[in-house]
Amino acid sequence: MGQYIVRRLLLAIPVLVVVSILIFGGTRVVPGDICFIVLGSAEGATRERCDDIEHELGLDRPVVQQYFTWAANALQGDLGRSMVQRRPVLEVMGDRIPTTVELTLLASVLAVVVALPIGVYSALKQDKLPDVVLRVVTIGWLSMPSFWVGTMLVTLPAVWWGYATPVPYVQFWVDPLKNLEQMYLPAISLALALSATLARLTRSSMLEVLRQDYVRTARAKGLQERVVLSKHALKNAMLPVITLVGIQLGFLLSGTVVLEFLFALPGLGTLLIESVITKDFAQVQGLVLFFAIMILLINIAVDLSYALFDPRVRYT
Amino acid sequence: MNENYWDKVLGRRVSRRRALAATGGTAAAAAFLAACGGGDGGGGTDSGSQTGAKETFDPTSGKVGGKLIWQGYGDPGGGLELIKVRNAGVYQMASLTHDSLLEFAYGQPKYPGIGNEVLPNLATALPEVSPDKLTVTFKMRPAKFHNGRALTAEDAKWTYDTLAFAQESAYKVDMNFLDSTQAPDASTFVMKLKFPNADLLQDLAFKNQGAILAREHHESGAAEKSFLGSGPYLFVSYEPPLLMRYKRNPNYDVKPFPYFDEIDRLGTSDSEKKVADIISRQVHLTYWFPAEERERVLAQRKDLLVWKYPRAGSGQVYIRNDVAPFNDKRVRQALSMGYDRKILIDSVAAGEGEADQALSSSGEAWEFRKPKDLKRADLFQLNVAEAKKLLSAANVQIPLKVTIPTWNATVIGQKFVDEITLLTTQWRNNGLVDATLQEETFGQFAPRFNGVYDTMHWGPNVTSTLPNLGRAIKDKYWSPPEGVKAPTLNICYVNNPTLSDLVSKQLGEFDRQARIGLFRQVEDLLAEEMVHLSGVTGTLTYLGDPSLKNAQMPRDAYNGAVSWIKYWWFG
Repeated sequence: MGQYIVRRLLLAIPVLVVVSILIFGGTRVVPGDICFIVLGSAEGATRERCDDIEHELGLDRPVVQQYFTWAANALQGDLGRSMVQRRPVLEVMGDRIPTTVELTLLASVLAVVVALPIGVYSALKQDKLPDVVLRVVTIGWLSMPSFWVGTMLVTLPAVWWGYATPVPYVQFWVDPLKNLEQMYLPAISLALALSATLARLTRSSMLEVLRQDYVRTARAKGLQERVVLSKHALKNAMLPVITLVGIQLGFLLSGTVVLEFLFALPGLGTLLIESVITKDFAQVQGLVLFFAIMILLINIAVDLSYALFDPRVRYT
Repeated sequence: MNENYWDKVLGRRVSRRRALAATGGTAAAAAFLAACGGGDGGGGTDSGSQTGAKETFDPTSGKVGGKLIWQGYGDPGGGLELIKVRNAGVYQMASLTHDSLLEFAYGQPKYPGIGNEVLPNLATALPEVSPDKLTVTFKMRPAKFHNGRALTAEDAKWTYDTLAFAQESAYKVDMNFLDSTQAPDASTFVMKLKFPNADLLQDLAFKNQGAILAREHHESGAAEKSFLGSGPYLFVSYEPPLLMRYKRNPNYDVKPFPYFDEIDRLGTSDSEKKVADIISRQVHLTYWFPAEERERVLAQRKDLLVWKYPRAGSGQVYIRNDVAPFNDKRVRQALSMGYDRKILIDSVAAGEGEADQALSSSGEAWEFRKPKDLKRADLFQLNVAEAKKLLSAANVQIPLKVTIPTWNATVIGQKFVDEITLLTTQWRNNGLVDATLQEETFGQFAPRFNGVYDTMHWGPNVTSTLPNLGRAIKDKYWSPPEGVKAPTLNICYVNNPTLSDLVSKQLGEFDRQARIGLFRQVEDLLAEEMVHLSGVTGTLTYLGDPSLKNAQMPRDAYNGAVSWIKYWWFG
């Protein structure tokens, strides 16, 4: 298992190198002048002052040299300085990571908690009224983009009940209840489409497993239905579901971008929007690299978790 | 086993055809309800709410206490270093922690919400000005920085010398009127000017040219992350992008102010969230709303204080007056007659606006005129036939093909983009111009502010929002004898000696009527030359919780210092 982990981590390196080159090059190709952003307007942006700023930020050197300098620093944990915030990139991100991680985890847990019972029940009632209703409902959820759901969850409670999630944002460890009250609506917005996909996959997976001989044998032995489902069927049906959760976690991370903006949450998503708009490419590079690393690690964790569910899976 | 009714219903197999039919029927019913469901309709009307809080108060009779939750606009970014960052948002935030020599009067209901009257703040009175208008002398009151050190004239000297002359200052251009400063004693501060500046008092009250800075705070580098001034509120924390926290300065030198114990300034960007927050009573004071959002809020909260103002057009089509064929004024005049401003007013301003002219309607203090009152009012009317005649006389093949860079909706909202979209659509439909809009982020668009563009761009109206218009008008239209070259603030590249002379003269004209006369000449000349095309005006509305007393959000609040919040309280 240890060797497998090391091998996977080593294989991730070339992926990260390619990602870093793409994002580094991409941010420099986009038009716009950082000088005006740093100064805040055009009035102070004399050529002299802009030259000073470019020199200060190392932008007057060749792009290849800029990349290697940045990469060498990144390996030592220095992702540079945000040109707009004027603070180290990692420090700016560090303030925002807890919010995004919390939102992503809440959405994932919510999605799984909602999807599994729906998927299992739907499978047990295949082609009957509950199954049809649940399938239609999940298709509906899947069709609703998270930004639209989020907008409805901001607007409609305010209009109907005079309710909105509280402001300003507080961290979980400062006031857990207020924090959860701020997070539950964006988590629902994010979880809806994922739970629909998971529910449908759980249903198909369960249907396939329920048709297996060993399940028929378990029933024939006289085991209670809930034991058949939980001990024999569900575990085996989970493998594709786990894969999907892992893949979707990556999408959830990026899905927070719009919802954080909508619900005024100070997370990495809002930071990414601000950084792109203001062409703060040091920050954009740091964020994209962070997302890439997270997705790689999540995928490795998903692969490793198979061994927990299926004793036949061994890593060498 | 006996089956009950529900067992039978839930256990029955449902055929695919039945399931599809049921789904289709439900969807059709939902669509029918959505289409036929009624709403109030309505929008664009003034719900009969008051404009301006006209209840009178004795400002010294307020009650201390409470936390004001104020929804500013989104976080400006750039850090908090006031010398290096030239940013309306940062200075708005700093105006609670920093006092300036002067402040605008318009934040209290006993003054109009639109205007440029200034009051002394750190100064004991308005300054003495020498007969040649080049020496300005302030007497300063005793004050202390938040670290306990006394604030003296030396601090004013250091502040203005740094802003005007320091290498890293982002304000050198703004302070180009300053020749030198003196602090002959602790309470006397003298400014020597290079040329007379009729807007000097407004400049010094304005957001980014007034705050007196603590030298040690800026030289230590701490100013990147915190504020330290002498103002009514102490800086507590800054949590970008959404929150800045303040608390009352118990040692503020001007008693009995301020009144609020704490202030939280929110940087919420999303308009739906802003609407939801005021409806749900999460905030006491909002950023400004356009007409449709205002009406949505007021439909739910009729109790709110309403401060509604006309606003100048947000955008202008800037045109390279030095590039063919736009260097022929007949072409520019034709473009102006090629679109119907009423269409823009109805869709972008919800019917609450008017056509705008180059010197925008925000210059009420200087009695700027509406387009219909100008000598060339005809150029602001739709007249496609006349436009084509002019283009033909100028030997221009139509439709002209241009690419027009513009801010995208992430910068100041969708309406800004809608306005140019509707304008260019009319041009296309009228066979005059085939324009391709090039939407850009704030960062991508930035060079346009210094005149970097090919033929045209749709940009913000930079002279519309300023109580100190004089210098901005000069910057926008004055040209040196050798002609305009990039980078420049004369972004239409207007090389007109008559206009240059007028805009220079107005800045040095201290007689109000004479200055209005000069502005009138500028207005008519700009209309005749049509150096750029203006959009349409609209309204902007701030909303406040009824518990706010002695409160008035002035029109220029979003772009100016908010020091007058110290006079407000909760009742």
